[in-house]
Amino acid sequence: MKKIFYSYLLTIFFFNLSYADQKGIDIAKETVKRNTGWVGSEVVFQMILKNASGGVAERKIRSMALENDKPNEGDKSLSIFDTPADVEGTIFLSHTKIKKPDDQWLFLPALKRVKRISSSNKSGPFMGSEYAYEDLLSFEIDRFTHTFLREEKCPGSFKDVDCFVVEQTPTYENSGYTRRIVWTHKNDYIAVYIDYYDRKNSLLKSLTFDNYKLYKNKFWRAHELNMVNHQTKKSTLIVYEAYNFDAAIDKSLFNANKLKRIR
Amino acid sequence: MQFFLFIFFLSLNVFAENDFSFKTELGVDYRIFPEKSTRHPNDQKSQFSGYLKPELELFPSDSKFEYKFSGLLRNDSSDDARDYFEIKELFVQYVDDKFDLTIGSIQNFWGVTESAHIVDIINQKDFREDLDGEKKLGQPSVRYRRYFDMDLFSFYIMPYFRERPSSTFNKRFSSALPVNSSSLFPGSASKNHIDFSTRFQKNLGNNDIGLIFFRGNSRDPIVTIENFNIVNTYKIINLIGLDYQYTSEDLLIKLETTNTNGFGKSYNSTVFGFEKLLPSIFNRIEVNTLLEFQFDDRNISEAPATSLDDDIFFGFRFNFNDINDTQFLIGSNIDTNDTSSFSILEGSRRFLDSYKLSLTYRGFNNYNNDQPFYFLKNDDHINLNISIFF
Repeated sequence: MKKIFYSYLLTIFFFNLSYADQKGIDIAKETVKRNTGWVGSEVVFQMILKNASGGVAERKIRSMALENDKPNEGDKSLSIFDTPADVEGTIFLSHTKIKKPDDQWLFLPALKRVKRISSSNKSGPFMGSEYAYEDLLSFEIDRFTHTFLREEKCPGSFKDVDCFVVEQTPTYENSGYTRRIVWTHKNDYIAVYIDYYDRKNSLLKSLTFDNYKLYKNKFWRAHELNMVNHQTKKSTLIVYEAYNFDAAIDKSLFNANKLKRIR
Repeated sequence: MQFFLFIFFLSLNVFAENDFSFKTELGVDYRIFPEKSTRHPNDQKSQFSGYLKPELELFPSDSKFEYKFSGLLRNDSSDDARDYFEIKELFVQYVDDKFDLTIGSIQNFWGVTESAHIVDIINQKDFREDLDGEKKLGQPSVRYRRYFDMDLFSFYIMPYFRERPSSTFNKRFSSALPVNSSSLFPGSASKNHIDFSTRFQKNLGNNDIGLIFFRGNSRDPIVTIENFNIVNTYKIINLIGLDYQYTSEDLLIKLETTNTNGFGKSYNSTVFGFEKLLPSIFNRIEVNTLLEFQFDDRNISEAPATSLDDDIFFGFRFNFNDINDTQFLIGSNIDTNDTSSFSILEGSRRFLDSYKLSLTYRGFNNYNNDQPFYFLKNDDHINLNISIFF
């Protein structure tokens, strides 16, 4: 009797576990599905870096992205730094891979040098901000395992609607996180809030998405992303200008050899 | 040239505001020399200079032509050779999807290694600017580049040769004897010799390979002494070069190798090394370690001198990843034959948004009189640089 009871408990446990995993993956798949077909986009953004004592520094970056057209590859992205003035013209090119390390290049205008760089520094900060490189990569399902936790009212300015709460654990190497908890808008399948847990599994950062706008009647893009580091009390706000999806993005620009001639 | 300049500036008025970019760097360098110069007992212990680097680009949106000018104006407190204006770039470029064609004075960089740049042979090095050889003179060229997916083919025709400039005799960094202002160009070498070079660059996943061929005036001169004067001799060389980089998640493997024919017996130069990304400090400071080996089998009685013959470079690069982009490089280049070495420390940091502070230290150790660059032995220096960008 006891044995049957335990096996019953175990069954419920595993059923729940697999249900939670399946639901987590389903949410991720729907999120990706609804954000498929944008082909290419172009946007200008400001990064506003704030330290604990209130000091502020600003960065202006132009960014282009190209949606993956092969199933085993991620998106390609290109960031051109317009300020600070001493790094103006520096370009960062990334070809995101899903299972393999990403290919990354840096163009240094003062030396006219394109450097292919190591990509293992995913947990390192992007341009001195509170964003790590891995926070800015395109969302690829297979880079995480997904566990559905619960449904609840969304945090922040979305508190009138319900959110799925899903725990995502990075499957790639060299992540700075043990896990992240993502609040996803239940109707629109867009992330509205993310908590990041460091390698010691304590809360490190929180990211709030705000000012979502709909493009081409299909693609939601947040225009304000605020990353707060709870341990250092620093924060970085990213403010996007309007996205341009209609631009016929030139695929050949995402080529390391051509970085020298990008404006 | 004047006609070209005239056309260039005439076209300035034509373009709308979003079709051009103009930026300038204004800076000062203060060099401190702790040791007495070997050249002259009263030689300067410090040196002060200011510079201006304007850069103008025009890229009218309705045209496939674009234009660029960048220059450097420097004025030095003690060395007249460092009072100059140099046109680094002045070119017009036709840009097509699959190719581009550039005519004018260009700056070009080839290579993958850090401690030496042996395949980087298009531009003449400017040792007035700095000893590291990374500052270069503009090279008048016709350049064609053809793009193939991830690969690149380029071809250069260089109709005018520029001699290597150096500091004034007896001033810091100058050689042991005065340099004769007229150089020798034996055989078919000449300032107007039409040099050409070609490069093919191929990407194979994690492997990037470049193949280079160059025929023309050697950028490095061989030095001979006549009547207590140094005479630079430039000869026609054929150079075949290869550069290679393997990129993995946290390790780069790098190789540059060249074979040079033209100065007596042909010789090989090689730089081989690694760059490894170490685990970050405080999850923020990025640390790279660099290890490079340099080999060279030239006979310096018939070929240009090099100090990098059997040397090992070892160093660390720290990137603090902070708001001010604080960076450090510390390293040492050691000659395994005679234990001479030089040490470097380079650091830089932004402040007040558009200012930058840089500090460089170079130290020369165990330099003996039988070495080609022994005259630098007391030129250990600290260079403090402040620049503003606008």
